[in-house]
Amino acid sequence: MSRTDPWGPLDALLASAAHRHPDRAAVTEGQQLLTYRELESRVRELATGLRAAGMRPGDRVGVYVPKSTDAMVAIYAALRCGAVAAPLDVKGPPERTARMAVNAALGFLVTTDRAAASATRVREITDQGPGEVRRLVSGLGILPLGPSGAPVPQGGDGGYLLFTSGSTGWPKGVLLSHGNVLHFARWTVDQFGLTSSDRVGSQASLTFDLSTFDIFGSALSGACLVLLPESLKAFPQDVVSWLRTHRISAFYAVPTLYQALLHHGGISTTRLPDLRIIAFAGEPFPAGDLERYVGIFETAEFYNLYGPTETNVCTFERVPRGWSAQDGLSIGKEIAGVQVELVDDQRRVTSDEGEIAVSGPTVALGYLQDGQHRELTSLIHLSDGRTRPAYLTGDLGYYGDEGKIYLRGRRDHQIKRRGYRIDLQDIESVVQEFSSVRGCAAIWTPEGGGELRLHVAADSVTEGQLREQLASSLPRHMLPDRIHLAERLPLTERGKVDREALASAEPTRERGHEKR
Amino acid sequence: MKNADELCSLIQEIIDEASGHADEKVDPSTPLLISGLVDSLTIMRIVARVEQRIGISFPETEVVAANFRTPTALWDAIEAVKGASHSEGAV
Repeated sequence: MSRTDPWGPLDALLASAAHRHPDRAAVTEGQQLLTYRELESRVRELATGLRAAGMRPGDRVGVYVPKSTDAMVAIYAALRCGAVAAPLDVKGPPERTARMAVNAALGFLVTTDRAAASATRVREITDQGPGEVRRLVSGLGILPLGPSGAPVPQGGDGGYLLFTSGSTGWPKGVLLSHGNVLHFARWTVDQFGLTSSDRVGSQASLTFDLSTFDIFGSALSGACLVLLPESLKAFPQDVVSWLRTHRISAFYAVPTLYQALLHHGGISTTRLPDLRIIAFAGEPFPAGDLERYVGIFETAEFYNLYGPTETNVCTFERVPRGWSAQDGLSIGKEIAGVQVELVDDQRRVTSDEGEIAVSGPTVALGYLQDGQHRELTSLIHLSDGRTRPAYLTGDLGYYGDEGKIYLRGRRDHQIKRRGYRIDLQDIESVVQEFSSVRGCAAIWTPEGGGELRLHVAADSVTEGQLREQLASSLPRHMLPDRIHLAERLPLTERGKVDREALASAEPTRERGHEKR
Repeated sequence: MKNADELCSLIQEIIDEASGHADEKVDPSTPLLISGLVDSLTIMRIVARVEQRIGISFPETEVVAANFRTPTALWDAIEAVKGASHSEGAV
């Protein structure tokens, strides 16, 4: 076996695509294009360099590279070494990145010239003292992070590492096996009918599980992965032109982005005949806007995908043709091979409202925190009579028609106020339907008897008008104590409404919670 | 606001508000997009503040990356929008 033969199923997808159709476009960004043969050969070259630099199977490697073709090479090369690839955000504050690196016990950073200075800073903050990025191949280098000679972490099977921000503390690592990611990628390719003639548009940050569809779904089907240049991401008009000029056929993004394309990007008046798969996840899609989308893209397939980072996608709903807002949108049923149940407070399976529990091949191996492996599942007695480890999502759901699951909000979004149990998302879904409202978030601060704050991004509406609308559509106990109108709501690096920022920020400041 | 330098101080102001302190000084040729200096929220704020100060309406079709690459590029776009609105007014 050659030293650059595939290590596991994920990097084998690339090797196999390079074998089957070497001259097809594998990944493109702006003017740059790599065929599958070229991508595979660059991966081999870098993997050889990484090994020579001391990378061993089981090592955890931060991919500290802006999203680009280089980042693809770095991820695959880390996998090819049998390492765990951990994409990191080069724009994140180095302090935060350093904490993540320590939490996940990263042994190396792979980085670029442009990010080298902040990579070195990350190393310094982790108490490793100064170090230099060593160039390995054109554009990419390596920087050791952990103490030299540290033992390779247990479970040297390699895989993927994503971070999830807990409600408190620093982001912890979610360790995914090759098999976890592969199961999801296979399901998407089967369900979407992806083939080598598809062009998968990739906008999600590499730190976000949405991007695992882009990367591995395209490799599995031999499709072309089209990366949205980072500089365009904040410009809805540019994103729409990019979808058109690159003839994107499959696109997976958060609803907030789709909404921006609808309200500011001109997507309703742009012809996008190639776009046939429109998938979304990460937060509820405001029904009015989704209805407009379904009307605009009459022949496209819309997919509502559901699942936290710990399970990736575990349920899906294909939005029916001609769907309208009053139909309500479920998160559907479990994807093939995965078991999803609703459980009560005692973790018993229920047919009533309950917490969504997930078991099966997409459930991650565990968390990495303080360098230690931590379980993320609990043993649950499932409806088939067997007891299995399942991940409790913290999301509440109930069964509707045909056994489809509807979300009821978060366990931790349920608050007790003046004796009433209130789900903050119930408030949000009402406000979201006001025609002037582009986005909203209901935030509960329990201190001092509690305050219910409503943050609203809206056009041409006054606080007084909003209050009137609220009073006529919500019971009194659900009316906010305060309303904050803004041009836009702050977003997380994943493009979702940043609830933590809203919760922790002073009311007059929309950002500023992040320590820099 | 009369020139690109004044636009730079306005952009600087907005970036400082968002991130708490300024690591980088914004000059007319500072690349705004590559360094990740501005995100979508910052861009919205810049547009709103420019509209307010100059009294123009900056059309959505002009909120594109090409016009936000550097303060100079944005200033050129503002001048073009101003020119267009003047000639419209003259008609």
